[in-house]
Amino acid sequence: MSPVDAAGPWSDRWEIVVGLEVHCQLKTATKIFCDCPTSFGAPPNTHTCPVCLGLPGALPVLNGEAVRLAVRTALALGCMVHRESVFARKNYFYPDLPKGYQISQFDRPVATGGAVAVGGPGIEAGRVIRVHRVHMEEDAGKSIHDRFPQATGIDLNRAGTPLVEIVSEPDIRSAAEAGSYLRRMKQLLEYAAVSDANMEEGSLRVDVNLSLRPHGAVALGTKTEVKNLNSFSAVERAIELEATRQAAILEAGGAVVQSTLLYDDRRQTVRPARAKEGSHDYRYFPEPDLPPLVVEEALIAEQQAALPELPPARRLRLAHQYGLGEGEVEQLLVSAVWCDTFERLAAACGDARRACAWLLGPVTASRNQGGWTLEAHPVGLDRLAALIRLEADGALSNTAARQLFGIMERDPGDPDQLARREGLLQVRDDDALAAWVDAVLAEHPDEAARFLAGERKLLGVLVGLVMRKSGGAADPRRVNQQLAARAG
Amino acid sequence: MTGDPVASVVVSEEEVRRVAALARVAIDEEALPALAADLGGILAHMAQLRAFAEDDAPSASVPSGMPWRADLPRDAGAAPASASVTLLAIAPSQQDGFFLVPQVVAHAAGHEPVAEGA
Amino acid sequence: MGEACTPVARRSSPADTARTVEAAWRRFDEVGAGAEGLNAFLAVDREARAPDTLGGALHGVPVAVKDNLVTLGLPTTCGSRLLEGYVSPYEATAVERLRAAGAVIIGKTNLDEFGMGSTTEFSAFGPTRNPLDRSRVPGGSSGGSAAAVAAGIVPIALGSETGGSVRQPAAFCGVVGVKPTYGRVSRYGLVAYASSLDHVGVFGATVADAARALAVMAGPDPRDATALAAPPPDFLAAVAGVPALPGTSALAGLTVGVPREYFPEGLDARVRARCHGAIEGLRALGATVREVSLPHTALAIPAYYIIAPAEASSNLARFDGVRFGRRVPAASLRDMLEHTRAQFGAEVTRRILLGTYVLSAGYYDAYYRQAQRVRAAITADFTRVFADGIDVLFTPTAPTVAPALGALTDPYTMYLGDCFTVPANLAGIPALSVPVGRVEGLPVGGQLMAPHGADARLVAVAARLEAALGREAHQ
Ligand SMILES: [Mg+2]
Ligand SMILES: [Zn+2]
Repeated sequence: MSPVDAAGPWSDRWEIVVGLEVHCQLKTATKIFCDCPTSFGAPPNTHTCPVCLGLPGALPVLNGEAVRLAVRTALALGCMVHRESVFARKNYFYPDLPKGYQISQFDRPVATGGAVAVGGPGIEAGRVIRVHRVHMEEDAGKSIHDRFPQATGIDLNRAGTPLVEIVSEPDIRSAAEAGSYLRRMKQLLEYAAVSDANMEEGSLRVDVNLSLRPHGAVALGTKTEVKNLNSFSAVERAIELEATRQAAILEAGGAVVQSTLLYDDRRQTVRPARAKEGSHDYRYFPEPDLPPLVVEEALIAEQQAALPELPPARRLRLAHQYGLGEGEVEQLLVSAVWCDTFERLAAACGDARRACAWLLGPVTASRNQGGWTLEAHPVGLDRLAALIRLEADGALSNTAARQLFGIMERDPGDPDQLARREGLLQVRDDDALAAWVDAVLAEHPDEAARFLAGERKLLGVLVGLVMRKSGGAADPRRVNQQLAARAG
Repeated sequence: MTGDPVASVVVSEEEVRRVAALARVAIDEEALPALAADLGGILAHMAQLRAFAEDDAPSASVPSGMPWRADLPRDAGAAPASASVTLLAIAPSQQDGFFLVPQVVAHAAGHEPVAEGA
Repeated sequence: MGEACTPVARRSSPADTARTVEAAWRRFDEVGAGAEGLNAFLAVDREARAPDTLGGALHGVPVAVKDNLVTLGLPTTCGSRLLEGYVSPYEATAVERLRAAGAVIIGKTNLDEFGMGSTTEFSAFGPTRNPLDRSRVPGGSSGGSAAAVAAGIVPIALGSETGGSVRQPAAFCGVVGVKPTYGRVSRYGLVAYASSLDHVGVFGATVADAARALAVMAGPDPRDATALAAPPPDFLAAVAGVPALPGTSALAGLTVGVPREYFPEGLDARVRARCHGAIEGLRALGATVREVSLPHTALAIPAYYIIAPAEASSNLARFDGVRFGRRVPAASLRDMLEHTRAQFGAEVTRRILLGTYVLSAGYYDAYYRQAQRVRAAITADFTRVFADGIDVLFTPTAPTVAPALGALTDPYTMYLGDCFTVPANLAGIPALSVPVGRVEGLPVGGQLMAPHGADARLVAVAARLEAALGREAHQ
């Protein structure tokens, strides 16, 4: 299998060219063309009706919410939304495709153009993957192959679920870029609140189109399509496998055959999906049951307004405005709500760096799974801000602050009072501190003499002794100041 | 109608076979010649459409767009359980809530084990 | 020809039409409308009664429904083996509205399989016979509904049109057949043949009967995205005050266009004569008559027979034996599918293959796209004459009277019989057929066409013409 030879790895000679088709389920309550619910996990065929079963005489009627979400998706990706687009029938037979055609969009999609900036380890700075088009379509049902002997079971609950298909230009050059593109896109879709973007429930599905060409070549090589990818890591792995497979063929002087392949996660292989390629001819034509889709300027404006600040802009602003590191910014960007929480906390406590450290540290460690907000957290945003202020002022040591945080998770009291009650506040009273300093100097006359004579390196030792004397309650900064002052 | 110079549109039996396969209609071999002749004959008449020059075509009037459904709350959209039972009952073959079809063999030639549109 | 003379086989005028359910069944039995006789019905419901609540606009009126409109309680076969015994779990909007108005659905009528045909000979359940001459076809595809009205069994029957399937059988059977503006009556529950051309239409013993049904059925439907959003016109007002008082010029101020392309040289001279009689009738009512031209008319049939089969090939893909319908069992999925779909009759198969062919890779532009261009040109022809002062157009409905059973063998010759009706389907404009006289006992229909949305004008003119022609039209 390995194409490595004396001339070095194949990747020195061949460039990977990948385009992705991402199918994303829009989070409407009902299906795209009927009133059946879109919820996941119901008993088979219970969310069906004459329309989504394709019974004779039934007709589709478009769900307005699906249009709004599709437009918002397109805007989030920086696409141009077209005033008029057209639904088309994609004709093919499959038992879980009830009407014998999928209602999709073909030559006039709802939006075109757009881009997703990618980044991260192994990716050249400033790389952008262009989005070719975004179109609306309905999902098919599910075929269950392993439940009945000699028979395939068909469940049409999913049939008619609204999807947007996001097609990239063939701009992706590595598995890492593909992974970043998908993660950044998932993030965008979540920020735009258009999809649950959950790969486990199948609300995000990806097809990979891949070809190789010699470095420097312009013309594209023959591509293959890998379907059935149900996780981002599967996409990355499939790209590696398929690129290696194609390279082996090309290096041996062979030609890649245009085909559709399936990724097998268990065996870690890609294999042909069907014997005969080119046998499908989708016979697209405009869907006569649906007039053209007209998206008014007002709807575009409304959806633009509904978009929050999106990750690309927010990434830059967080770094500049708060002076955060790249890693911290990425961790905050994971969710829009999380990011909002950070900004509200930073404003409330007046110390962005501490706010960030607290969110990514103790709060992350203690928050419930999936909870990207402090609303449900027992400490709450306002009390956490108060705690951070105490720490920032020096009233609490970091250790004491963490202790207090633990107490606050169980006790709804005011942080300042809790700290007092638990004796966590640092002593900053100069007289009290002077008494401890006097005692330590008296108990350690030798060190005291040397220190007062100018041996500055003893400062640390003496501060430690004063801290121990105070049982940890003294404010180390003030102890430091007092000792330094005595040394002159 | 006869003597039309473009009446030479010929549909071969092979083309009928190809189209019948696309349309998933079993055709008897004996019926192919007659069908090919029928389709060829009909299409020959259709050839007069080509005489229609493109610049004669008026721009289609811009339609006003289509009505949209409201996205009902999840509860409101749910069909009563009895409805799905009725819908399943009209199926030629069903079991445990599933419609049944002959086993889809994942890799047999000619079959398409992947739902393509998705 | 002996059967043709059965005296009870036809009503002598609309006045002989049964107007109660009891009378309908009496008439049904008298004329022999069952499978052995006219074969006009594929299913009947002899238990059906008027609802208890009174006051519906059609309370107690017996109505027959073409068997491609889905109904609760009665099977819907579309004249196809594939749907034999199929009972829909929901009902078509048009039927629902008729029932809500108190109409009694007495049965489902025969048709060319899925509406594909012009004679009702392409039904899997045998041809329907013309009640006026049982050796002849009733026209099609809504032949069963036309025959049911012509035989006097029902005053109102639903039909459907894709290229003239209501108007042409109405002409052949001597009844009124109306195809309203596209989208005026919801298509929800009409089993699709060619969605962009399909209409629910209605047969009436008189124009007023058809208008009463339209008044109930027309109007927006949230379940059909192509239904017109505008409220329907007042169909009852359109037929009120007819016949007009003697001596009044009921159509004064109206300009009737007579397109020369609809009176070609080869037109049956007797059909031409009856139509000219009707044109004189319109003139006598005070209308101005003007010759006009619709230059793209000859291209209507080729455009139609590209677009309709293309859409049909897709619309009929759902008949795969998976969720409903008669499956032909087989070991493999592919065989199950292909043998189940081999149950389609010859004409349906022909159109599915034709439609698949014209949509397939490499042919789309030459056929489908070009046909859509021609369709736009035909629509523009109509728009131009209507903008040019023409209020309605008058033409023959069909170039001939009803042909004998089995007379049409070549598909394209049969298709040409639709040449006068197809343009209105391509343009989506309202059109109807009204009896204008007879030729050797066989009816001739005159067609009126009106601008998009002008259904009320169409019906109003037809009602006045019908009144003017009086019993003449039925002799
Ligand atoms: Mg797709
Ligand atoms: Zn549904």
